[in-house]
Parts: sequence; C-alpha cells; structure tokens
Amino acid sequence: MRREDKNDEAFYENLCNQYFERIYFYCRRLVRGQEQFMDFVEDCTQNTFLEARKQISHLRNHPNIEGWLYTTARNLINQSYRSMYIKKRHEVMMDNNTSGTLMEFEHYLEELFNSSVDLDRLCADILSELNANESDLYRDYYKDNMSIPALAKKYDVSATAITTRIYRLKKKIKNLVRDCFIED
Amino acid sequence: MDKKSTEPFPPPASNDKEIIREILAEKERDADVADKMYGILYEASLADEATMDTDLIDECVKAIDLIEGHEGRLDQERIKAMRQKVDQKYKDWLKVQRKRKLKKLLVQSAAGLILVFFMSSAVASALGYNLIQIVADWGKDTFHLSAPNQSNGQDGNNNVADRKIYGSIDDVLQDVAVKPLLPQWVPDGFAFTYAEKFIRLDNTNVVLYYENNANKTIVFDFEIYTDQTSADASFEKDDNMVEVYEKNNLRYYLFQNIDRMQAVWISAKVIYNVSGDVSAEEMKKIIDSMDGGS
Repeated sequence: MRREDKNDEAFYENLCNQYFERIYFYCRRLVRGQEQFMDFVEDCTQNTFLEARKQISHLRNHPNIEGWLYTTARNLINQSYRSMYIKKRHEVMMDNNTSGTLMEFEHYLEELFNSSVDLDRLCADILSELNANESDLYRDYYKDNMSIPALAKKYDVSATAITTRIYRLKKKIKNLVRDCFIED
Repeated sequence: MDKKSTEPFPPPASNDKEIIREILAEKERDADVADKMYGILYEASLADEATMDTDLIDECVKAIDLIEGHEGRLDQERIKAMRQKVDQKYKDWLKVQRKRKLKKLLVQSAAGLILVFFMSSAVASALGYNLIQIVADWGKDTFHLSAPNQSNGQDGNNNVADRKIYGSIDDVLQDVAVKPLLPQWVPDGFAFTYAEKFIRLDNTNVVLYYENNANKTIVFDFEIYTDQTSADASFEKDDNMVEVYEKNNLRYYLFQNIDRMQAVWISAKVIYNVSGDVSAEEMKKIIDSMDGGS
C-alpha cells in the first residue's frame, strides 16, 4: 500500500471513530426518532461514510470536515424522504402518553425533593452522577455565575449551543432526582 | 444562529440545595422544549458545510435524546456491523470503478492500436520515416502520435504558429504547397463561415468552419506536412468504439468525442480531421464528397 493510501486509510478510520455515532444520532433526530424510519437512519449514516471514503483524499484538506459530514447526512436523509414522497416530514410528535406520564411525575418532583430527609446527601448523590463536563458547566454557571456569552467563549461554542447545553444539564439533574425517588 | 439566551445570568443561588430546588421549580413541558430544540436543530441544519454550527447540532441532538429517553451510546456491535456494510459497499464501488477503468482502457488501447498502425504506416511511408522511429502514446482520453525527424533540429518552443483568419476558402489555400481535398457536400443548412491558417516551422494547419442556424458546426482540420518535417497528431475520443470506413482503398477512422462525430485519415501528406454535429452516415457522405479522400 502506498504511503498516501495509508494516510487516507488512517484518516478515514479516525473520521469513523470520531463521527460515526454522532452522524447516526443526527440522522435519527432528523427523522424525529420515528421507528419506521430507522432503516433510513442506518442507510444514510452508512452512505455518508461511504461518500467520505470515496472522497477521502479531497476531504483531508477540507476546511470543515464536520460540516461536510453533517450536510451530506442531511442531504441523504432529505433524498430518502423525497424518494418516499413524504411531505410532512417534521410533523410526527413524540408519544404523548409517555410524555404526559413523565410530566405528571415531574410535577411532584419539587415536593418530593423538599420532603427528603437528608437533602445534603441527596444533592451530593445527584451531583456525583454528573460527568466531568457537566460538573464544569454546573460550577461555571451556577456556582461562579458566568454569563452565557462568557461560557460560550470559554467552551468555544455559540451562545445558542451553550444555552442548549445548560438546558441539558438541568434536564439531567431533574432525571437524576426523579430516578432517586423512583428507586426509593 | 447566535440567539440570545433568555437567561443571560444564572439564578442567584448559593448552595446545591437551592440550585437543584431552583432547577426543579422550572416547569416546562418536555414536548414544548423538544419542539423548540427541533426548531433550532432544523434551522442549524440549513447552513452550508462551511458555516454549519455542528456543536449546536450536537447539543440539540443530545438534548432531544435526553428528553425522549434515547440517551446513551450506540451499541459497539451495531456500529461495527454498519461499518462492515460501508466497507462492503466501498469494495463493490471499487470493483465497479476498476471494471469501468479496464473497459475504457481496453477500448482506448484497441482504438489506439488501430490508429497508431494506420497513422504510423501512412505518415512513415509518406514522409520516408522508419516505422520504428515513430513514437505513439495514448493517455486516458487521447491518442498521440509523433514522428521525430533526425534532420530537423528545431525544438518544440520554436515551432510557433503564425495564425491568420480568412473569409474564403480560396484565400486560405493560397500559397499552401499541398492542396487538401475539399468537401463537395455538407448536410443541409451548413455553410462555410470562415477559415484559419496556422503556419508552423514543420507544418501548415488549415481549418475550415461551417455552421448552421442552430449554431451546430462542422470543422475541417487539415494538417499539411512537407518532406523535411516531422509528423505529430493527437485526438481526443470517448469510450465508443472506432468505426473503420473503407473507400477507394483508404481507411477512414470514425469515432465520437463529446457527442461530436469525428473522422480521421491521412492522404498525400495531409492529416485530415473532420469533426462536427453530424451523424456517422452524414460524416461518410462528407468523406465521399471529398472524393473518398484520395
């Protein structure tokens, strides 16, 4: 194998390790997680990386390889949709029964939390479940009172991305509290 | 995409209990948040590959996954299976590519061999060259032939063409040592428009342009050699086979290049190259009208 080919192979391998899962999840979200489109998701993820492999030499010098992968995946999903003549592609809502049940339970979470005997222990347990990145964000945002623009700068992402990340952190904490009481 | 947060500053809380209490107090319907996230996700997805905010997309994907209970990693076995399918698809693609390349190469080689034999024999015999001295090579889409003349010491850079444009065929052929055979027939609607002459150190190139109302063209390219010069000719062609048309003991090679029909032959120190937006049958009629090229 030529040195150039070896480099291409290594680059492609790295690309797969870094992005395969992310592209799969992205495709899954583009079809709103609908079970009947999971074949699309798999096919489009595979075809995104097939295209990447075909064009690997060109991609090695691409200024935004992530952007290329995401737009390729998006285009493939759109193509699949078009081929099925699906017009209202974003209109399927999540299962209302499931969300309704969770919603009802979450309504009482605050009460349950406040009624806990050992709040300090409960807080420690919950916070210990956060991963390193989440702990950092929790500290920066809630403890150190960093603003959104400052956080966006620190984490090198857009303000919208950091707001979404904070939302995710809050949601995870809610889920952890819920899990504690479900277990109890 | 840089939307301002509705919460520019975090809630003032001094300890974890208060913070978590504050978080739990925020009541949002998951479906509403998910819809909002989908909105952001789809908007971010509209960007082009250069400006796409992939971090934001990842955040939205993770947030929605969290809301819908799809968090967690993808099973490694599943990833492996999918990647194996990609590998297989890639191998299949490579096979198809190789087959295509091979097919193209075979067709080109066949066409090249026919042409090299024909051209070398004709040029060599016409100009008195030894066949072995004639060098031919062809690339992906071209056929190239050259016959270096030992007595001609000029290098390629000195072989600069003197180009002139003419309004009539008589004018362009004036002072040309060997007069090429001219078409007596062209398809209906085509008419002579202008001619060009390129005078080089080792040959004279006369080109006649014919055009019809639909801007379709026929080009007659005559490369005229003298005794003391070397012959050189290259032609581009596509994957289609070369058709050999015989008339008056001469062979004419018909092939296509970018949807244009082309005919090439050599006769009396002239390499004829006729190309145009015509059919093979019309090309043969043109050749016939040129007295069979003989």
